[in-house]
Amino acid sequence: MVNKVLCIDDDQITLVLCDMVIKKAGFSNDVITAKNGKEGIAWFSAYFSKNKDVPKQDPPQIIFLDLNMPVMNGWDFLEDYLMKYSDRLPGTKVVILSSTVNPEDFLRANKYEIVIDFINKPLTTEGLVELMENEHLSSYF
Amino acid sequence: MQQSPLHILVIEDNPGDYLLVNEYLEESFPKATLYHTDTLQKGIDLIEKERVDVILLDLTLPDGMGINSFHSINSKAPQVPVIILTGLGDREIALESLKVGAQDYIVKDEANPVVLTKSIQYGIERSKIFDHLKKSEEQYKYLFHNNPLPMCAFDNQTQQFLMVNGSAIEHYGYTEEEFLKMGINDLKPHAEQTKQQTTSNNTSDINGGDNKVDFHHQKKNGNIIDVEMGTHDIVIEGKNARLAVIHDVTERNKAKEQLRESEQMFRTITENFPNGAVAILNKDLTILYMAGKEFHIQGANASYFENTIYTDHFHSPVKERVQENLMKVFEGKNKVFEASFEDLSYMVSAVPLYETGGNINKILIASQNITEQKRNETEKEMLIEELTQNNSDLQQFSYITSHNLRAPLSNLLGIIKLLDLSSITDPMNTLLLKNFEDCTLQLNDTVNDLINVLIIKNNVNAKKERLDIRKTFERVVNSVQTAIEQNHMVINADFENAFEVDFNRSYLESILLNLVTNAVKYSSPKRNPEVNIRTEKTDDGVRLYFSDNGLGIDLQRYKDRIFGLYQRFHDHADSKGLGLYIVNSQIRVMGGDIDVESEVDKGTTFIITFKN
Repeated sequence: MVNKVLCIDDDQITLVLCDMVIKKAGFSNDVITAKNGKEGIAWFSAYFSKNKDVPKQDPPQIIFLDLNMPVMNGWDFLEDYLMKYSDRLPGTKVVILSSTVNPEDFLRANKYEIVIDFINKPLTTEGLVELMENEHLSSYF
Repeated sequence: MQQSPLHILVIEDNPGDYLLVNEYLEESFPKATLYHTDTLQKGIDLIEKERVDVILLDLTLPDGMGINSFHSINSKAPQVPVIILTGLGDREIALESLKVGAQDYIVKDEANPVVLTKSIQYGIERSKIFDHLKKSEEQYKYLFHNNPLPMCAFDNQTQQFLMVNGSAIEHYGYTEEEFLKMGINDLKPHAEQTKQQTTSNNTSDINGGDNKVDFHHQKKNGNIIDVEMGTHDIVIEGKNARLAVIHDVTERNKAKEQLRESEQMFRTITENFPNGAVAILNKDLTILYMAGKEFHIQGANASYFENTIYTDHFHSPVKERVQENLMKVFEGKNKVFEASFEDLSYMVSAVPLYETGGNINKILIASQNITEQKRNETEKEMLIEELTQNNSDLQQFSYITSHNLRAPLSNLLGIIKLLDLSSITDPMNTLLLKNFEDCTLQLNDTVNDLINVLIIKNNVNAKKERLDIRKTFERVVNSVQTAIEQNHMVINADFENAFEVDFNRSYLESILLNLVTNAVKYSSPKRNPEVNIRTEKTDDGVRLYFSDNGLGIDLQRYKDRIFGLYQRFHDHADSKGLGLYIVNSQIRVMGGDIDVESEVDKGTTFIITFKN
């Protein structure tokens, strides 16, 4: 089981459903969420901040990332995250979770080494079971 | 009078006569050498040995009588003048001998030194002149007969030919006999001869003075030639005649005519050069020649440009570019470039004009006004840009719309998956939720189908790869194995003839899946479904025949709609009217073709052509 996952999606219902499915499928028991890319970045920013007052949490091993989001979309989040944090969290991988039909999105996702899968919504138990077999995640299950 | 002393031969058998003549001669020509023989034969022997300037010949010799004696001696020495010595009674013979070439005659009884001297001196001089004339005539004849140009002489009055040379005979094809029966006018083409009788008599042109005239002659073989004839007056056998030298100028005229025609053609081309001009420039880019229908300076004509520098008619920086291009042409390159002048655009083609030595001192340029084309092109480009932008906008719009439609739908699907119906006890709610689930799944199918169509349509560059139809088909059959078994469907597949196609992997799977599931869906309730598939090689690909024994389609009614969007031909719950539309789209986008044959209640055959 994955210790912790971060779901970034602007759709509240999707976030609720993800939380339920992830826990139901036994993928992870710790699901944290962010409403867009900017909130996602803020989480990591806080994680690496020197402020001792904030209690230290564990980082997520998987980020479920939506692409179409207001304020900061999935691609912009990915670029920012790769630039600032990915080096320090080599165990953290990204799974794109989107309703996109644009072929360019699939092509683009292939270019990132950190992106280990591309799942078309909705996230289902079956989809998660398949994901568990991914070579990058085999150590968790 | 004479340079050396005379050598005089006297042939006389009468000693008395000789004595008398000898006396006169010694008196008149004291320095002369005198020979005397008393027979003709001795005389002939002598002139073969000695130089003799004049012969005095008696016509009554023991071995020679009369005129024959003269002929004998004259044939041996035709150049030596002969003076006949004769008696009183033989005056007639003497006169006759003059006609055949004797210089003079002396009646012996009338002779005296003065008469003798005069006769001898005149005889020698006359003989010289005669000799000279004879030589010149021979030369003349030689020139005439051996002249490489056809020559002839004809009577001024009758126009009849008097003589023709070998070259004329050869050139015209008539024999000498034929010529001599003809007149100069008979050489004119037959058509002209009749015409001339009614108009002016052309021979008057030939007569009178030395002149040159041009006209046509017809050879014996009928060929008509152009001739130039030079003539001048001569007298032949006492007749006033004209000697003519004939130049056959047919070839020359033909060449001239060809040159004129090609010049004419060149002018026609250059002066009518559409929407532009042609020009010849020399090395310093001076315009030597210019012609055309349109020059880039409005209102100017060709002569305005001649002897001006070509590049001066352009503004910088076009001017420099034109110059640079033209200089390359002098290096032997062909150049095509655009040059603009104010708001006009020209396409200029320049080629080197090689001289025989291979040097390039001149170039030919042709310029055409392409302003209109340029404008059209620009408009076209703008239109394409606009359309591309519109298309791209629409594409983005469709992606976003699809996404926004799918996002809540996927949530609905997610909810349905998580719903635990067993915990709901109210049967009414259970039914409602079941219907809710059905609706959601149906909506999802429709949206997915539409999105598929959208992606095929937009994805013109879908990847092609070499596929083995056998393997793809096997995968497809496996994926619907349950349905096949439930319906007891028999599949006979024969891919022996051809099985390799260049196609998109997922499209091929989708096409085969659609065809197989259609065969299941629209099978006839009267019989077990059976599908026959075979392939064959074509010139540039593979043709696949997919036949079923199902319900069939009334093609007379539906032929033009069968591959349309949302076209349904059977009342089937599962039918959305999308399958064949997608199949058709996927085949078309790959450059292939699909056709259909069908008979109601017999079955349907789809024929797919793959282009490799």
